Amino acid sequence: MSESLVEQGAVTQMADEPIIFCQNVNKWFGEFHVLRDVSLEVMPKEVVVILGPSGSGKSTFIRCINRLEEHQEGQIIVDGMELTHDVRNIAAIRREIGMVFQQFNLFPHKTVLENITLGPMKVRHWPRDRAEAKAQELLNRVGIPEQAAKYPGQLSGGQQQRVAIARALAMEPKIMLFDEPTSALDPEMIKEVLDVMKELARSGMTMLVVTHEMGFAREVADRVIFFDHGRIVEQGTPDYFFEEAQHERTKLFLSQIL
Amino acid sequence: MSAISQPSRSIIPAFLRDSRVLQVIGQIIFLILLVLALSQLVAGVNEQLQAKNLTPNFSFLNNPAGFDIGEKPDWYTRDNTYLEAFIVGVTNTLRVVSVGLVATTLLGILFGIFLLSNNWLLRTISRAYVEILRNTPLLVQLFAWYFIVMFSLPQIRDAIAFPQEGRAFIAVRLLLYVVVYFAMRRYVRPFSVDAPRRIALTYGTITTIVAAELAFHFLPESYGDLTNVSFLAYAAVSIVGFVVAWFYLHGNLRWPILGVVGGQFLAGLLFYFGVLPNSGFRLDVYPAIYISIRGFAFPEILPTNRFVAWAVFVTVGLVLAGIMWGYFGRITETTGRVIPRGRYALLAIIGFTVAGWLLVGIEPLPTQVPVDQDGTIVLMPLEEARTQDLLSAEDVRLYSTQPILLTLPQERRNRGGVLTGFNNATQISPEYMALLLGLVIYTSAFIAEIVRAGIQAVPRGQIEAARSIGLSTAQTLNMIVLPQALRVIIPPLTNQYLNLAKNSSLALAIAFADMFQIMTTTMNQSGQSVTGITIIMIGYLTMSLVISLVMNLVNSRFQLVTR
Ligand SMILES: Nc1ncnc2c1ncn2[C@@H]1O[C@H](COP(=O)(O)OP(=O)(O)OP(=O)(O)O)[C@@H](O)[C@H]1O
Ligand SMILES: [Mg+2]
Repeated sequence: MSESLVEQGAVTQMADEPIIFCQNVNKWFGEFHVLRDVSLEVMPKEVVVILGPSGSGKSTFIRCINRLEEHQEGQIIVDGMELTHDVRNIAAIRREIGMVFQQFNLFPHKTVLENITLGPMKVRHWPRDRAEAKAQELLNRVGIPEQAAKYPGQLSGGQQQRVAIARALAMEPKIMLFDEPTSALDPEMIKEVLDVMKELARSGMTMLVVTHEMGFAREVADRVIFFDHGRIVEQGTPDYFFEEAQHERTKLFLSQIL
Repeated sequence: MSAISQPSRSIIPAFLRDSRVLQVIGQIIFLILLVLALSQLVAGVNEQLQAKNLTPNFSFLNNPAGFDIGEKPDWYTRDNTYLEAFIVGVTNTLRVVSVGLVATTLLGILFGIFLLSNNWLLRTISRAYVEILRNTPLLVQLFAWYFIVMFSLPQIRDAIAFPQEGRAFIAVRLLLYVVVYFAMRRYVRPFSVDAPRRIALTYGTITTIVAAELAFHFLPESYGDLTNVSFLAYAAVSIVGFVVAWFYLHGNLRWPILGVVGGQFLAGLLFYFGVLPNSGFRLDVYPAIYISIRGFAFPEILPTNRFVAWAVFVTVGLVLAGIMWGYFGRITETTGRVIPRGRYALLAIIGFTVAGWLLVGIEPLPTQVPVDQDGTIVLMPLEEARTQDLLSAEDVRLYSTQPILLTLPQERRNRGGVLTGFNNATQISPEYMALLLGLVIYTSAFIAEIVRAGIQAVPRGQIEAARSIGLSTAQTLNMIVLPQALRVIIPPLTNQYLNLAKNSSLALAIAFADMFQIMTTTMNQSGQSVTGITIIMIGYLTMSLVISLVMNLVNSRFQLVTR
């Protein structure tokens, strides 16, 4: 059954097909049930913001989408490819998904330029010229064109996170995952990162964003999803979510955070 | 109006209140005091030594040493000078330290990786290894290696030979198993991409081989006989097992057990249809290593007169490989085309090595050679001279088509047929072996910890970031993990290298003739202790500085730039 689904996805992918398809995804850490029957469809160009209390499984869920974590039950299909143990599928899917982490995770022994060109050159086999031109273009886009030759340790947190976004974009992904990209930043640097993300959303990138920035969610999100205890409790448009949320747990969360 | 208030006036001129000037002045004063103190010390010591007639003097080094050395090259006798004895000692120290550094690094890396293993047994064993070795004194360990391990080796007449002399039988079916294994990997695995079926396949392959071997050993009477009772029982067990596993087992056990019964069935078919060939081929085996209380005898490696010509080929191969590596690397960078440059470079090296070996051997040997027979030079056929053992060492090197001769140790026996020693062997003394093993194993425990800590120092996020931009496991290891781990590993590793080099002076305790032991004897005999200690300190200092220098060069490649 799983195979027929994959084939359908690969052959008849159309604009109104979901680019991410999750069905009844379950995951355990030992005895601990982190994800419970999570089902979600994300359309191309959609921006989905994931909210939820700490420890509710938000990070675990988006990390399952590019297989940094393995799910144990259910199905995840990304861009027509199902995530299985097949290493070729995993590699192909990772090429299509960029990820930005809370702690930036830039490579400290490589310059900003090398950080960005590494993926395109080693994975996509681009010539150096092309990779460097792309890197420079992306550095312009995230607003730090003059930092190419520096090392990550010489940049501010906000600049580092923007380099991390450029590094993910350099692979020309179809989907971008953000795991609390602004949580490790000082308040004055949060805006510069959010601005880059807003611009990215407007340019039509499919995005899954875990964040506590409610302003960002209201302004940019097409859909807001609320996680609690490994379950999707409630979802809807930002207007619905922030004004008319039904679920007790959601209301409690919103009352604490707003 | 200036808003900056002037400091209050003072009798001390302004430049003397400048912190930069004060720093320089402080350093100059310190230097003057240091020189004064040192010169006082040296003058005082000199006076004392002169009074006792012990002034440092290097001329005694040219006097004959008069003592023999346990571990020495052929040219050394008791008539050689102290200086020459010392050179023998330096050589011995370098032999231990150079081999020791390489071996301890390899062993340390291995155990460092084991310490991080997911396998409980491996992790626990290596943890015990590290804790026992680094928490007992090296001197005690050296005594254990020498007085317990080495002294329990057999007398030379009963030397342990490895491998045992005799015939080896290599069964053809063992080769068949290898073929089966690679065929499975190449042709079957790609079709079964998901984990359960791959697990079944792995278990199946292993079972096929094990079951076929067992059948071969325990049911030989039924080989190739389809009507045999044991075949029918074998088939029944397989089929029942398969049916049970297929219909009644679910969960974790299902696929492994299906693999096992499937493999058993396949093995049974191969066996009973007589597909497994029964034959094999024989090889003559001669011992290459002898171990006894007198030491270790290894095969001798002898470069012949054609060695240089062959070395030229090898060098050309290496240079070519280097050029190709760089050139293909640049092509990949500029065009993005992927070229397996490692494979090409390896091919160049192997190609030139083999071609050189063959080409060098083309020139034929003379059929008649002049040999010295009882004082007169006579011509005789080469083969005859060889069998009569009339060729000198020089001749052996001259009359060989190979660039390198590898000769196995030849047993030397007395009239009674008792083994007394070996010819044509590289001999290693038990003292050298004990010191080497002691130093290598002791230091490897520390290196294992350093390697473990270095790898753990790379944050998990680095690996996740690398995987998320699509790098493979190997690329992640090479480009992200190792460079960052080495940055943490190299400085403490340098310390361990220095420790090994300096600890080699413990050779004294087990009577290995290293430079310290020889210098101790020299000082006892000549009474020149000040000179002796000075020389020995310069010796170890030089060795340590060379190691530090090399390691600092390596280290500078892995420095991080930060704010
Ligand atoms: N590798 C792991 N092993 C065991 N438990 C884990 C592991 N990773 C996460 N967990 C647990 O799983 C739960 C969900 O973690 P997750 O990081 O997904 O939460 P989160 O919603 O992202 O929280 P936060 O907002 O604090 O980042 C937590 O209780 C966490 O302790
Ligand atoms: Mg999280």
